[in-house]
Amino acid sequence: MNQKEVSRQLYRQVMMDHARAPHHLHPLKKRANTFFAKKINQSCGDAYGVEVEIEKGRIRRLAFDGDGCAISMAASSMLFDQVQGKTIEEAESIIRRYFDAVVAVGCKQKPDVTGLGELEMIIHVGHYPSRVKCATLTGHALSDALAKARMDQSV
Amino acid sequence: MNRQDDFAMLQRQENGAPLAYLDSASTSQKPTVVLEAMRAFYQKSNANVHRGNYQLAEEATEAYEGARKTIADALKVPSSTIIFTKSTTDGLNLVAQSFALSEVQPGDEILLTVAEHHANLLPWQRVAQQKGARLRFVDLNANGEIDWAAFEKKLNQKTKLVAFAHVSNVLGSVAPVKALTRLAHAYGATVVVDGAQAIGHFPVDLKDLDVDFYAFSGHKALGPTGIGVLYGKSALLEEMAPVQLGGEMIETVTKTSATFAKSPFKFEAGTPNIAGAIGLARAMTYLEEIGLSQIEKEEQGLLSYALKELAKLPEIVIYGPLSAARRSGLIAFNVRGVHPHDVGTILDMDGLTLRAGQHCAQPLMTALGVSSTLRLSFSVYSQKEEIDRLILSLKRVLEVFS
Repeated sequence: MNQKEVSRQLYRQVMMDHARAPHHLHPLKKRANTFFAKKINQSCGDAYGVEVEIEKGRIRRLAFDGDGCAISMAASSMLFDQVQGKTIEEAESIIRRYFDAVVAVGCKQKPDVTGLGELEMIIHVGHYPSRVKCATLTGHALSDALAKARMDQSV
Repeated sequence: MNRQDDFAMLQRQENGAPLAYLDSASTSQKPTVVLEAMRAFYQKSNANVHRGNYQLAEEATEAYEGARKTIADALKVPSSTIIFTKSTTDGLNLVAQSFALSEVQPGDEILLTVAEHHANLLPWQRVAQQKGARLRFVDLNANGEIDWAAFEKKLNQKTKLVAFAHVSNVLGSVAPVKALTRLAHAYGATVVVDGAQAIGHFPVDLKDLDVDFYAFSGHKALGPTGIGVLYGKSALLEEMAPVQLGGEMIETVTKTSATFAKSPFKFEAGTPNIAGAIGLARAMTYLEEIGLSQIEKEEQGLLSYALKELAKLPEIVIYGPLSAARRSGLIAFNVRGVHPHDVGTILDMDGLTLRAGQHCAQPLMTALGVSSTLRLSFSVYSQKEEIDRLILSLKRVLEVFS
């Protein structure tokens, strides 16, 4: 694939479907056993809140709330699909692998897309360094929320 | 005449398509003659300026002071009123620190507009804070343009300083500088103008405009980065204390005291950006050779065409005046329902480089009720065909997001 073809991997139909109707996009409820975090993208002012509900060490439910570009909406939707139902450790591992894959694409190396599911499409954002923040913002917020969950003994 | 041939950068491919560089308001491309002039200096005449007694040093000094004179002549002011700075930001900060911090008193007012670039806002925020002065703003009117009609209402005897952009870097509108300056002077206020988006786009006669201070950047006017100009009226520069202290800006120095040189040298401590000044002067000559009125005419043509074509797409929202006649070379816009960053990335895939963001003007974004916008901007190498490519790509954006 040449540069032009690779760059058109972004904004493909599947990604646009996620962007138009993102999964897990709900007003946040802040119930018991939920952990919350927020992040702002400085380059455009878009802000997202994220919450994750943990039961017996697994993600029972997760949601993000906010508004932003298609890449951020799609990436959030796809990432949250991948971590739904996983343990805290598994979810953190998926997030790390996702970030590493984006960086690998940016460094023109072969990315490891094991267990990333549809995120495989979004990692092409690595070719656009200024958009990487868009694709990883809720991933960072989710990491923060999961870290809080891990430290809480009761879940 | 293919002016594009003068600019090697324009040969570049962007994502497999020919580059259509439409972000000159951010920084402009450089004609080969400018780069050659800088290289020639370093290879044939390089020595420090104002220091040596030897022939080579005289040559370097003549080149540097010659650059100053070229720029002064272009702006119709004396050489001694042209100070070389790093940039517009540098120049505005110098006025704030040197002039405003000593002249502004508690209870004074500083009048700005809500559309100012952060470089023409933050320095005044600090002056107001440190001196107990009050910031006031000319807001946007119902059309989303700067409400110059309300300017006089906001002036009063307490207004010490007025600062605004000659051309807004988002709205693209040209301020009626001469009239505003006359009004401000009637109230005893000093006028500071941010000329970053004006120089190189149409003729600017600083003597005629009668402003007190005028700052601009070389890199937006086909010159290199790291060089800018601050113009100040002689009488004001005479009274101002220098901010940067060191070599070359002094007359005599003892262990415990120093007396300062006259303007402009008083404000140019240390070894200056000699090659930068030479590059900027060569850029101004390149612009003058085309003719600033000619450049203005061409830009008006591009603006009219772009505004007309963009108006055909109902999803496009344009910010600022809808008529080319009231604009200079840039148009900020959005695509309804699509985040500007998404538009920007898709345009980039087609080789079109437009800015998407807040344009260092967050209060203006708030006043417009948007989080960010796209911006298309022209320079002497811009072509109608690039606007056609932009329209095609915008239609593709609409398809992707339909």
